[in-house]
Amino acid sequence: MYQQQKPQQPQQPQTQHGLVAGVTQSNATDSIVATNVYECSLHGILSTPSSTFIQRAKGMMRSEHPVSYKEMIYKSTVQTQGPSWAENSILPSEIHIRYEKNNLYVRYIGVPQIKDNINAMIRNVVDVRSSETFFIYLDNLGYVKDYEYFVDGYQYSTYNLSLFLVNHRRVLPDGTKGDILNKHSMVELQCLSGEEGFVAAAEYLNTYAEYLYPFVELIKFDHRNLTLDNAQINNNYNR
Amino acid sequence: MGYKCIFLYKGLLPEISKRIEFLGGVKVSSTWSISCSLYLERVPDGSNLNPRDFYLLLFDEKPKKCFVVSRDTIVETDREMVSILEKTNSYRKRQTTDILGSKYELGDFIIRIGPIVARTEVRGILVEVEYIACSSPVTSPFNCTKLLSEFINYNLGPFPEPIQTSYDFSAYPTLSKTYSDLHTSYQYVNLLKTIQ
Repeated sequence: MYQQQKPQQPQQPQTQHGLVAGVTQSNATDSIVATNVYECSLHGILSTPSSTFIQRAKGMMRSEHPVSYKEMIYKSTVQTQGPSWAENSILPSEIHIRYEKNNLYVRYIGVPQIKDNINAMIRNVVDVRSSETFFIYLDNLGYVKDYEYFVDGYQYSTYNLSLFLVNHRRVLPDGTKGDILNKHSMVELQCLSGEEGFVAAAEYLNTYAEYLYPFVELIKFDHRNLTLDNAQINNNYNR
Repeated sequence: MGYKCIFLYKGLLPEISKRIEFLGGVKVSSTWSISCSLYLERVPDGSNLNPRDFYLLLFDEKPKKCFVVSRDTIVETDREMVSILEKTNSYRKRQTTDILGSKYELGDFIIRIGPIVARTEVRGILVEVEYIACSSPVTSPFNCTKLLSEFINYNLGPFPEPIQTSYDFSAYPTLSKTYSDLHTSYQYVNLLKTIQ
């Protein structure tokens, strides 16, 4: 999730549309220098009454925004070599397209980093803003739509931290919203970091996560626990 | 933005520069640049598949944007798209053509000239002429091709063959009816394909 994310750490590059950028460029003919930006996150399922949790979130955070968008996940049909430990798990690099209020945002999400000593999920992200013709371009590149869903909920932000409380809905064949996929809301606490800031970011996230306990238990979600069978189940569930 | 015509100049760079300055052109920049890269799909070794390709253009006057010309569409995205292409590792940059030159203002026209450099070799002199007085919303930029043709052929010529200022954009049905940088991208790719 990357709705209206507003990181405020000074070392982080930020694009004009509020998303953190992955590239800086000196001029048109120079080589492009990628400055890696990573999303650090903790996840949880809200099983307690949401009203109490929302009160706590509002008290901790500075701003609140409703979020509502459709997200489409594209995967490449071009075979490239990934990390060996990622075989048979749902870990290919993905391109997420968020369609929101006639704006199209593209996010590349890399495979989660193996950082057992850091208590947060860490993934490389690159954000791009584009137009609707981007779908044709993706098709030309050889990407295919894997699955899609609607996201509705709220984003709470403070400094460089964002807390999402969202529900996911199925997309019906005619493109409209269908049933809620899970009766419980999903909670995601996230911030962005450079390559040097994983430890500090994880500590920061876990400090906030402690304040949200016991309303929700936020954990580092380890994709390595997902086998192909589970992935297939999830995919079938999401379709 | 105005309507642009892009063509290859067969003479020398100082000749066309002096010509523009003789007409009253004022040099406003010496660092105008464009970069056009061809990306090819990485296909497995020994595969008979034809790799997909696309061109990626970077204009120095649009420092945050890049333009991608693929089979049947042209897309404008943030420049971070280049980083995504590198990270997904599914395409590799095959060849880059750079144009680094000067920009002149001459009345209602902006003229950009520069050598086309591919694989460290100069492949020709590129001239871009933009007629900016047609950027008003009441006038379609596509209507000024005749005026642009007269300006180019009578003032910057003579040329062995008249420079064509009208283009067929029908291969890209997604292009809007308003002239934009997407049209310019197509014009550049079209021209650079002929000299590679």
